[in-house]
Amino acid sequence: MTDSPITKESPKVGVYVCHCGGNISDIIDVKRVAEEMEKIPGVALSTDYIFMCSDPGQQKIKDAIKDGRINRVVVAACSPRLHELTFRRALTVAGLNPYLLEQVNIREQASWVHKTDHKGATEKAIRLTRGAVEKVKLAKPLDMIEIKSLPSAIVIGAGPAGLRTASDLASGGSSVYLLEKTPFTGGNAVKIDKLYPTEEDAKEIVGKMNIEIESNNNIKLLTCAEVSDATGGIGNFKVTVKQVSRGVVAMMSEKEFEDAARACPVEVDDEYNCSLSKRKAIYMPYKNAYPALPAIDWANCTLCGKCAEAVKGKIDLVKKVENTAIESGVVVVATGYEHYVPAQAEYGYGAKNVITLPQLIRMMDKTGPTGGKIEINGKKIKSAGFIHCVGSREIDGVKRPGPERPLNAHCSRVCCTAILQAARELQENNKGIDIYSFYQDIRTYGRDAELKYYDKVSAGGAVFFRYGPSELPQVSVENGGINVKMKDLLTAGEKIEVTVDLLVLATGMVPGDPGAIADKFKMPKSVDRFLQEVHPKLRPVETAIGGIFLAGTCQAPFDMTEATAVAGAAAVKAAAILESGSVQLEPYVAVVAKEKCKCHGECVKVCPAKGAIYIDEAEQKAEVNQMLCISCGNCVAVCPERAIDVQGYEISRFESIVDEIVRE
Amino acid sequence: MVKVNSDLIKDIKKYGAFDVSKCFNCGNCTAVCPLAKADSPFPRHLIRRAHLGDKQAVLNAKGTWLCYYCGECSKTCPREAKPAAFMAAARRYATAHADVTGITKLLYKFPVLNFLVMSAVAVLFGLFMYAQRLHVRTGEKLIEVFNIPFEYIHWFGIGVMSVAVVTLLAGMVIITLRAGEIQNILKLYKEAKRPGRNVMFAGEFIKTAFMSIMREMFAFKRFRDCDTDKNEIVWYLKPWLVHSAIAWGFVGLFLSTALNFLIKDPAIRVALWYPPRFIGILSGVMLLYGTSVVILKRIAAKEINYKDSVFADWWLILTLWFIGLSGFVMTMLVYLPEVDRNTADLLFVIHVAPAMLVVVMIAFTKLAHVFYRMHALFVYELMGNLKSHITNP
Repeated sequence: MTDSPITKESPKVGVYVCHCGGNISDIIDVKRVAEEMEKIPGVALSTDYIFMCSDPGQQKIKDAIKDGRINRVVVAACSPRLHELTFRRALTVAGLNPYLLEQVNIREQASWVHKTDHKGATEKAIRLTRGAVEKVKLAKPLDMIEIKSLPSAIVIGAGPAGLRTASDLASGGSSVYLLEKTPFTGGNAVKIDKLYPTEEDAKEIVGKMNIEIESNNNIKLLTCAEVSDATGGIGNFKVTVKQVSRGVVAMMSEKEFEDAARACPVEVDDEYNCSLSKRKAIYMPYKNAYPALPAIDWANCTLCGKCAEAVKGKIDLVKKVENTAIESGVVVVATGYEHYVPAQAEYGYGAKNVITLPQLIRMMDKTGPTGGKIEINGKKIKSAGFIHCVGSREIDGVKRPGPERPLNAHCSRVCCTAILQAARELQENNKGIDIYSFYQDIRTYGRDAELKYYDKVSAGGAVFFRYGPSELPQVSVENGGINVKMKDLLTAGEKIEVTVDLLVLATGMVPGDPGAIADKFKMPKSVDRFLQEVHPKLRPVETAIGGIFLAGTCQAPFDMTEATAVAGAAAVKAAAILESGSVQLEPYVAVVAKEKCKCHGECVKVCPAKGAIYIDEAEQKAEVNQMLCISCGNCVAVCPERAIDVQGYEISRFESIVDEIVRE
Repeated sequence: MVKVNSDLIKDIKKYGAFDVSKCFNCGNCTAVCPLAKADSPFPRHLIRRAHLGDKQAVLNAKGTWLCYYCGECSKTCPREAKPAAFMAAARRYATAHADVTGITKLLYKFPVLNFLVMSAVAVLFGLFMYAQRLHVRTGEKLIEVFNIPFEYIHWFGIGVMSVAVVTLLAGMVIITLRAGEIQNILKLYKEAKRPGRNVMFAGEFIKTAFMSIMREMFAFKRFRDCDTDKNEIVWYLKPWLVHSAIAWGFVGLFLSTALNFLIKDPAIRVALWYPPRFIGILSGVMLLYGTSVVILKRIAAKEINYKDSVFADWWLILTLWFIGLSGFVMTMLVYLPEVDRNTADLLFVIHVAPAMLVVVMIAFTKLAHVFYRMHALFVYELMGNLKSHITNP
């Protein structure tokens, strides 16, 4: 805390009442407010001005401070959210501690809400300003809390977003721990065949990112690794990583892998192919997967040892679990999304030839389970229907398959374009195919997507049907044909029936499991259960927990273009902390008056930021970790001894405000 | 419940609606159409029915016959789906499906075949006629093949003509069935004559409907409503005027030719004001003017209603133009110094063969619309009159 000579003097408050160009002065008698303030003991100066935030307005404050006429400032103007930083800067420039400022909001809270009651608004402004004057009299100079930051980052999840963030951070010189839950990088992206709008192969794009990761010595990739515990805070995270051994311990040639796989007697659904094919318990999802080392699927391996016999010395079937503690300055969460899986019989799901869009995409991949062919009984399909918004944009009471399942009210954004991309490919490869699209609303957003997908598919003869949110299409499977019945809004609400060979359910994105990091730090989630940013525009990749950032689809449904862009933004935000080596925090943290503390422990129980307040066992007193404190004030409220205060918002100051507001 | 079937739209597309699948059902076309009414919504409604595969709805639609292709809808269409071209294709489709022989379908769907058939028939006609003239004049036989007794050829021709006429009549019956559902007409008529209502006789209904169709046919009442570009096009190039020049020119020429043959030999030199001759010349000028304007506009393909021409459009307009021109040359020859008989015969054949072709093929070409459109509108009018009499007696 700074003890400048100024603050040792008795308070000399300067009050500035702003007109806000009429926003305030048209309703409130600003001259009267200023005059009333002059009467208060300790107010050295009280005046009004047309725009306090303007340069001349700020200059008035600076001059008065420099002349020694005032040593505390009250600005009665707009919301502090708008201009508190402006006036704090003015104080700093004039040589006064910026926390000796009090901005009181007489615009939103008086002139705007009492437009017809000029007298009342003026009275309210006087009382509010009076409170601020008394509050600022008790103000003490404060300094921002500076915390040293460790120079490394932890990125959780090695899908495209995680790979992008890790690569961007590492190329800036930070060291990065990249954690991946599965044995391979790429996440859901590698299951996509062609990425709109450029139609590049997703595996190749991810392959390029893998090379960036591999060739950068600043990045340490940990696969089969999950966060099991996390503490600390911005600048100083302590994360425990639980890593399971891969099973395969040495590089294998392609032939060796084939031998080992052939020897394995276990066959399970291949998640990479969306369960359209089987794989063994020793597996590689696709040919160029990274790291290029097969892995053992411990959940399904019977430990029979046949693979180890087939390929000697390269497989260790003793599952090892290792817990490693990693420290870092920042954490970037890039845990991604999951495809919604329809309930049994939802839109006919489970019946033959009713598949999901991710499955269709796997089938259209030339290296996929059907070699790129979309056939039924060896014949090319003649018609395909697409139902949009499956597992997205649900309305409670209309759609919620399964009693325990949360509602997916959000739009998954990418499906419309992905559907039409797939439909266009079907049209190109199966001449004369009939494409039917059943949608609620349709939008192929993105560069060129309207032209490349909607226009092409539509001109190619696809027929679109629109269903209302409360009357969903009904699917029935009868004598081999799949019938979709619906009320079509494009035909004036008439009932129509379409029979198709193949029905594709465009399943949306649902949040992935962000793992222990979200639980340990109580990371806020939005109503759609995705992790939530502080503000979608002002702080789009920051979370409420300082030093933890969001990258990619753990935050919301994005296409890969957007996910990587967001990942880049997260990298920049993280790098800003890592590069400066320190973090400055507002000084509004809890402070414990040690002499009063009797160690009841109530404060620890109510603290929402884990570890921000704790009991120092040696001293038997409560202690605050300033880095973690989020200034909520819960501990202040519950302390039986009134031993805790939040700096800058002490209870005594609140009392003085209230006294002044109610004083007649 | 409509059972969706995409075969219909694929079929209609063969008649010229190449871009209609781009339609996203906004309805701007119907909003801007000067002729679409609540009881006959088009083009949007019809485009949707076509996409659903509702064949009956497309065939039964009044809108198909109401549309005169002003092209406003295509100008307004945000998707460039060319609804006007779709309406034309639907009209061709409806026409082709009114032909019990199935010939029209083939001719519309396969332009190359159309061209070959038309050319072959014209050439055959020409050869027969020339052979006959030659035989009458000199006793010479053109080729041995044509040594068929004249009566046979004559009766064969009558037979072909009869098929055409019967097809045309059958087409009109089909259209009546589609439009009015004949049993409905009878039911409506009975309903209209129920005691307590103002008595109105069948003849009166027919008369009202007939008069309205006459206004349509002779004054192009609705076509003039289509004149949406009031100031953009000079009066003598207005589509309805050009179209009536062709229609009236054709009717006039038909009339004057018939009169000429009935009264006298057309090759006799008479004063130009002599009525059959005068009508002929006037009609010829109208036909040539109308067809020339249309041909030039179709070549320029700048105005929306002259874009997207299909073979059937070209064939009819060029043939009419040719008949007009050759007829003109023939008439001129009558007033010129004596030409040798053989040249005159050749010219006669060149003029008459395509004219005969047009008449014989009337049921299978675009020209059938003259009958079908008028007839369809007449039936709809009749139905409408009956219905409105019942609701507001």
